[in-house]
Amino acid sequence: MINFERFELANGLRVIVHQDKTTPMVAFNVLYDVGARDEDSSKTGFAHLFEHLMFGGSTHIADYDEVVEKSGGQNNAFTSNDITNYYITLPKDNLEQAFRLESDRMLSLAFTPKSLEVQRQVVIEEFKQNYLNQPYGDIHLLLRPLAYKVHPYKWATIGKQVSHIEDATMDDVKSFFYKHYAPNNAILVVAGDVNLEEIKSLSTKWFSNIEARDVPKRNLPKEPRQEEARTLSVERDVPVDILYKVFHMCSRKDQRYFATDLMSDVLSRGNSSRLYESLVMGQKLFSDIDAFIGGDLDEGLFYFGGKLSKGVSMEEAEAGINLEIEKLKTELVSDAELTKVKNKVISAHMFSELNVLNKAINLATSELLGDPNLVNMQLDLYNAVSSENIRAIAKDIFRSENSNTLYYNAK
Amino acid sequence: MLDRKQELEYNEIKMPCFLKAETYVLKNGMKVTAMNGGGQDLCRLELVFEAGSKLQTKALQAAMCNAMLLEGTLSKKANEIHESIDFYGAYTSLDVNSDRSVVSLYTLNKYFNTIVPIFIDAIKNACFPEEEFQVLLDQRKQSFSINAEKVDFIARKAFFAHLFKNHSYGKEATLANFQELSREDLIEFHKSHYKKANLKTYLSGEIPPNAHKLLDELLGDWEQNKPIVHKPFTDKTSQDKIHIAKEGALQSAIRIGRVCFNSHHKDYLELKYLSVVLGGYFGSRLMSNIREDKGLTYGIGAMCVQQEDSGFFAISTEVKAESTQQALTEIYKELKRLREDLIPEEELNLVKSYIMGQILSSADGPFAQSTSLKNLHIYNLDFEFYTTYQNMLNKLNSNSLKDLANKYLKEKDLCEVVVGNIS
Repeated sequence: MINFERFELANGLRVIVHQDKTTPMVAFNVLYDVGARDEDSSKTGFAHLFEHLMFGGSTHIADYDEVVEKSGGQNNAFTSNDITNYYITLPKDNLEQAFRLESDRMLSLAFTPKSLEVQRQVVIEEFKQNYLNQPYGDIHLLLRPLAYKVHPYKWATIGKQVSHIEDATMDDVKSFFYKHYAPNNAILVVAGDVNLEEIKSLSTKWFSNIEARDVPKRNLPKEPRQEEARTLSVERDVPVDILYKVFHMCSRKDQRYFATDLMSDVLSRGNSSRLYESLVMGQKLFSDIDAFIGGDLDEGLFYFGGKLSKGVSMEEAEAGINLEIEKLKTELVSDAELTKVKNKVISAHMFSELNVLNKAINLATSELLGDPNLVNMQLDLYNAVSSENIRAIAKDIFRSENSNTLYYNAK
Repeated sequence: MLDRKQELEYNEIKMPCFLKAETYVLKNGMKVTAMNGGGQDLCRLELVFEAGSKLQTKALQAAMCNAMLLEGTLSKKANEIHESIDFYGAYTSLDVNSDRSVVSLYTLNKYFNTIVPIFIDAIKNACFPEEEFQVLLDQRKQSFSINAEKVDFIARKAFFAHLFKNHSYGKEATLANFQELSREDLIEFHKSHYKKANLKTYLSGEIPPNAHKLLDELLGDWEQNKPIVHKPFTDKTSQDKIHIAKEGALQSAIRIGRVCFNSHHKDYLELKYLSVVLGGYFGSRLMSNIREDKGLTYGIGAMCVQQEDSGFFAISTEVKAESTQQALTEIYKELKRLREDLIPEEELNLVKSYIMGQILSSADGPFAQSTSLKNLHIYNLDFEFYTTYQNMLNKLNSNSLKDLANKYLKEKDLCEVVVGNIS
C-alpha cells in the first residue's frame, strides 16, 4: 500500500506527495504528458531529442547536472511513445535544489544553438549504438510500421530515420517546448521522508509563478481494426534467425489490460512458463522465446519474439507458437497456473515498492491514467482475472488477420 | 520576488547510518550475515561461493555450472524446481564473475519456509542433467555468436585478454570452447567448489523469526572448504595498441587502460577518485568533452575496478566511426590534463559530493546495505571502510592527485584497443 496526498496549483500543476520515512533519499519525479505519439510524422524522434535538450541549460541555470552532482544526487530521464519522464534522487537535505532545477527548466530553456548541435549528434550516435550498429537493433523499427498504419505508434521513440533528427531546427525545438512543456501538462511526485506542508510550500514557491500554457488537446487517429494478416521478411548479416509475431491488443486504460498481461505471464514469465517448457525445453524449436505486452497507453501490441534453434525452419517455429496460441483459445488456464502467475505479480509488486523512485514513477503514471490510487488497486485488478477472461482475450486478439509477423533471416 | 539565478546553499552530505548486521554462526561454523528491516514482508537470501572462472580448468565451466544450479537434482527434475519457484512467486538470480558466484533468492516471507529448502537443496544437489545442459549450452553459444558481432563485446574481450594475458582473468572463451564442455566438467566443478565450499550467506529484509533455525538445518552440515588464498597479481604495463577492423561498423568501440590493484593497495581509493573525475559521472571530463562538447558519442566512462587478485583501470566508449581518431586524441588530451594541471578546488569538491551521494544511495535500506556489506566482506572489510573513505576524501589535494596521475596514467602504461574503423 502506497500512501499519498495530492494537490494542484492554480497553474494546473498536479503534485503528489508520498511519505516514506525509512530512506534518507528523496525521489523527485516530473512527468510530462508528451511522447513520440505527439510528434509530426515528418519530424519523428523529436520528443526524445527534446529530452536531451532539457539538460542543455535553462534560463537561470547554465549547468543542470552540476547542481545535481553538488547536491549528491543522481538524475536521468526517459522518453516513451507516451510520456517523457525526468527524475532526480537526492539526499533529503538538498531537496530544494530539485525544485529550483525543475521549475527553472519548466519556465524556459536557454535554447542555445550549441546545445542543439551537440545533442543532435549525441542522439544520432545513440541511434547508431542501439539500433543500427547492433545485431537485431532494427527489429522494432520494422515492427512498428508493420503493425500500425495510422496511429503514431508506427514510429519508434528514437524516430523513423536519422534525417529527421538531422533536420531539426531551433524553431521546431521552441515550438515543441511551448506546446508541451507546461505546468498544466505535467505531474510532479515527491517521495521520501517529506510531508505535505513542506512540499506544498516549496511547490508554491518555485512553480506557482509559471503560467499555464496553451496545450493542444490530443487528438490522435485511431488505428483501424486490422483485417488481414501481414508479414515482412528481411535478411540481415546476423548469426541467428529470429521470429516475431505481434497482435493488436487493448489500451492501458481498458479493463482487459490485466488479463492480457497475465496471459503473457502464463506464456513466458519464469522458467516454468509454457513457451519455455514447450518450445525451448520440449520441442527445442527456439533457444529463447518471450511473450510480452508493450504497456502502451493507447491500443498496444502483444508480442511473441524468439531466436530459432539451429536447423529449425521459420515454418516449424511459427507452427510451434500457433499451437500454444490455439491452446489458450480452446482450453482454460488451470487454477494452479493462474494462481502461479498472480503470485508472481504480487511479489514483483511488493519488491518494486522497496524503491522510492519506483513508487514515485508508479504514482505519476497512475495519476496520468486518471487516479494515483490505481497504484494500489492494481493488485485487486490482477486478482480479479479469471481463466475465462484470459480465454476470451486469446480468442479476441490471436486471430490470424490481427497478426503481424516478422521473419528476420540470417544471411 | 524569487531570485532564480541565486544558487541555493548546498547542505553537506552526511554519512548514512549503517544498520548493524547480526551474525548467526551455524553448527559447522558457517556465518550468516543478517540485515533486518525494510518494512515489507519479504526478504532476500544470497549464497556466495568461491566459484569464479579463475578456478576453472576448462573455459565456460564456472559460468555453465552457475547457470545450471537450479536445473535438477537426482530426486527433482528441473521443471519441478522452476514450478515451485514460480508458484510461490519467488525470483532467483544466478551470477558469476571471475572471482565468485552469487546465487540469490527473493521471496515473500509467507513462503520462506517452503521455498528456501527447495532452493538450497537444488544448489547443493544439482545433478546437471544432459538434456538441460545441451539446451542451456546452445542458448549461450547463440548469444555468444550474436555478441561476437558487437564492436563493444569484441573490444572488451580483446582488452581483458591483453591486460591479463598472464593471469586467468584474461582467459576469454571462444566459440570452439562450447564444443569442448561436457556435463561431467560441471559435476566436477560443482563437487570441488559448491558441495564443499567456503560459503558465505547473506539475508536481508524483514527476516522471519525462524530463519536462523531453518538455515542451521539446511546449511549447518555443509562441508566447509578452506578459504582460497588470494595471490595479488600485477604485471608490467606497456603502450600496446590492438586495432581490429570491423567492416561497415557505424561506431568504433574503444578501450584504454591498464592492470592496477584492489582496495588493499594504498593508492586504490585515490585512483578510483581520479577515475570519477575523468569519467565516472555525467559531468565528468570525458563526458563533457567528448559527448557534451563534441557530440562524438552517446556515452563514455572511466572506471577503476577491483578484483580479488588484482584490479584494472579502463576507459570505454563507442564513438562515431569517422571520428575515431579525434576521440582518441581527446581522450589522451584529458589524461594529459590530469597529469599536468591541478584539479581546481571546485571540481574537487563537486566530485566529493557526488561520491558521498553515491555512498548514501548504496546504503538506502537493508537490501542495499546488505549488498554493500557483502562486497566489503570480499576484501575483509566492513562498514568501517566508509570512514576511511571519507577521511581520504577530506584529505584529498590536487597536488597528490596530479602525482597519482603521473604515477599510473602515463600513455606509455596504457594499452589501447579499437574495434571498428581503424583507418
